This record gives sequence, C-alpha cells and structure tokens, in this order.
Amino acid sequence: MDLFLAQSVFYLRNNIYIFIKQNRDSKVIRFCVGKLHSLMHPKIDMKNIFKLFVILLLTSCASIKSIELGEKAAKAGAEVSQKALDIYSLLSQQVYIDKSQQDKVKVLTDPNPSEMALPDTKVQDFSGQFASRAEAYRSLMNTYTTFTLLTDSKYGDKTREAVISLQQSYNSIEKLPDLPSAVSSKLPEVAKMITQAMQVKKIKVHNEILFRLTSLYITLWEEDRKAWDRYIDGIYDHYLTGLNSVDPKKYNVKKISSSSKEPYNEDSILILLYRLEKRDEIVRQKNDIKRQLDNFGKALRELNQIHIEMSRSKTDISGVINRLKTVDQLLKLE
Amino acid sequence: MLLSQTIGEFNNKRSEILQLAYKEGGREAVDKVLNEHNVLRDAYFEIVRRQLDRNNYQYEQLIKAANSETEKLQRSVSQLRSVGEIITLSGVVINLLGRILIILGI
Repeated sequence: MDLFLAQSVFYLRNNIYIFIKQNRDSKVIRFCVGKLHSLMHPKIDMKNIFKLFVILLLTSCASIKSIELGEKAAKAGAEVSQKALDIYSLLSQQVYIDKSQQDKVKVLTDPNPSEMALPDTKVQDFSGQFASRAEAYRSLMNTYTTFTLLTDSKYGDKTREAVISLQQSYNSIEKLPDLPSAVSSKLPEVAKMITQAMQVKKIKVHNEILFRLTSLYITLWEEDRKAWDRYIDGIYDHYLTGLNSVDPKKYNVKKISSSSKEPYNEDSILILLYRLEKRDEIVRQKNDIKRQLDNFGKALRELNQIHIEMSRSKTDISGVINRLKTVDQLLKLE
Repeated sequence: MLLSQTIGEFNNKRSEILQLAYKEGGREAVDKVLNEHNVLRDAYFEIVRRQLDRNNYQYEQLIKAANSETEKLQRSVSQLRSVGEIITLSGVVINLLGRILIILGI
C-alpha cells in the first residue's frame, strides 16, 4: 500500500506500522500491518503523518455526524408512526361524533318532536379498516424503535473501552512484553473508528430499505386519502346540510341575541347570522381534520426523502437537517 | 358522487320533506322517510368502507415488510454489539491466560 493512499498510519514497534485507508463513507477499505521500508514511500515525515491524522479526524467526524443523523431520522420515524396512530384514533372517533350529530338533526328537524322516540342513529362501523392500518403503523413504529438501537452513538465508545480493557489484560501478564505506548494510545481509537465505520455502513443500508418501506406506506396512504376525505365529508356535510334545514321558527331569537355581539335587531338577520356562524364552525372542524391528514402525508414524504438522502454515499447533511426540521414542524401543527 | 348529491339534496329540504310526510302519513310516514335516508347514508359509508377494503390486503403485506425490516435491523444491531463483546471476551481470555501462567509458574 502506498503511503499516499493510506489515510491513517500508526507505529507499532521495530519499524512496523498499521496502515488504514477509508472511503468517503468512513468505511475501512484497506488495512494492513507491515514494515515501513518495504510497504511505503521512503519519504515519511512528521508533516505527512500530521496530515494523515487530520484526514483521520475528519473522516471520524463524518462518521459521528452520520450516526447522529441516523439517530435523528430514527426518532423522526418513530414520531411519524405515532402521528399516524393518533390520526387513526382521531378518524375512528368521528363515527361517534357522526352519531351524535345525526341524532341532533333528527330532533331538530322532526315535524312533531313531542311524540318522537329518542333517536338512536347507527354508529358506522369502520373498526376493521382502522385495525389493519393501525397495526401497519405499529409495525413501522417497532421498526424505528429497532433502528434507534442501530443508531446508538455508544457502540464506538464501547469498542474503545473494550480495547482498553483488553490492553490492560494483556499488559498485566508479566511474562509478556507490554504493548508499546504508541500502540496503547492509538489502538482504542482505531477500534472505535472501525466500529463507527461499520455502523455507518449499516445505517446507510437500512436507510435504503426504510426508503423503500416508507414509499409503500406513502402509496397506500395516498390511495386511502380519497376514501378518508369522503368519510369526513360524509360526516360533516350531512350534518351541515341537515342543520341548515331546521325551521327558523324553532330558534329562540332572544337567546341568540343575548349571546351575539352583532348589532342587529331584525330576528331573521340574527337567525341567519347564527346559522352562518354554525356553518363556519362545522366547516372549520372538517378542514382542521383534513389539514391534519395533509400534514401527516407531508411528514411521511419528508421522512421518505430523508431515508433516500441518507442512503446515498455522499449525503447532503444540511438537506437532511432541513427535512428533519420540516418533519418536526409538520408534526407539531394541529 | 350521485349518492352524496342525493343525500345533500334531501338534507337541504329535510324539514320540509318530513313535514310533508307527517301531514300525509303521520309518524309512520316520517319514520319511513328517515329509514330511507338512513339506507342512503349506510350505502354512502359502505362505499367508503369498500374503497378502504381494497387496500386491506396491501396493509397485510406492509406489516410483513415492516416486520421483516425489524428483524434485519435486529441482526445488524446484534452484529454491532458482538464487536464489543468479542473484544471483551478476548480480554477475559487473556486474563485467564495470565492466571494460568501465574498458577503454573511459567
């Protein structure tokens, strides 16, 4: 191996060195141990070694950054999965809201409420549809929980500690010569770096799989979305139009007037303004739910893009950070 | 969606229709009209349910895919853990070797 190909060189003893070369993803691609004069360019000086250590430090920093980003992506994935479960919980509650609204419309539009039986509208059963979807997102949540374990930044430190402990064990045997101090000081760091490089490689591979997996979730979410829109429209539009048909004579204008801030006297105006207010309130409720669905869909797509970006050999770190921020903001929106 | 339009049109004139039904056929006629309306609404939601059910089998595949990735991740985590464990184990072996050397007095 040429010295100028090697990025890290460590002196062992008796002119024997360890040479390590990494690619841009911090993956160790060459590793060898040998004598200086037979393996390397003869002109090795402290300046070159210093440069090599700087490169080592930079690649090590890149590994740490990749692991940190992986950890954040895992957290974002778990949060998106949780949001999906919240969304399904919100959607499943709508059938009870629908029942209550339809019961109310029945009372208000009945031609003779004094003789009507207490209305009891059937609750629309969507439990089977919610169960399969919630299960899918619980599985995704488990995947991200395990991905969090893979992106734990302590693996490198644990390897380093293990190597230090190994060296101490070796040095404690009196019959064996102690390791040279240069090796003792560098070896734990090299071992840590190798573990981090392995970890970065695995994180990249799993990001690619997670990209494909979240792509499937997006496809199904978008296919379902049209049905969820009809479901929400059915619940709120049926209520809105039913409420609009309530006979104006049934309103207590005094009550409307006492709670209204509008400066009008005419009864019909007060009733119409009250109806407008109620209509806007229902439309707002409907749109709030749809907005939550929109934001979840956007967050899922951002997460998907984070995974594809992180699976690339040259990750756009600032791009990933921006997308992580976007996911966080989208999930916080109500 | 024609069904949605029909329900909407009924709802817009709901009070008038029910009033008319009451005048012509009393409570029984009102209940009949409301029953028809319920049938329409049930049909509306049944269509939504069927749209969702079309994707149900894909969710089963999705669950399998997610669980498979979780298993792969668990294997990767185990491999990473084993790096440290092997080195720790090596330290234990060397310690043991040292004790043996002491006991044997070599």
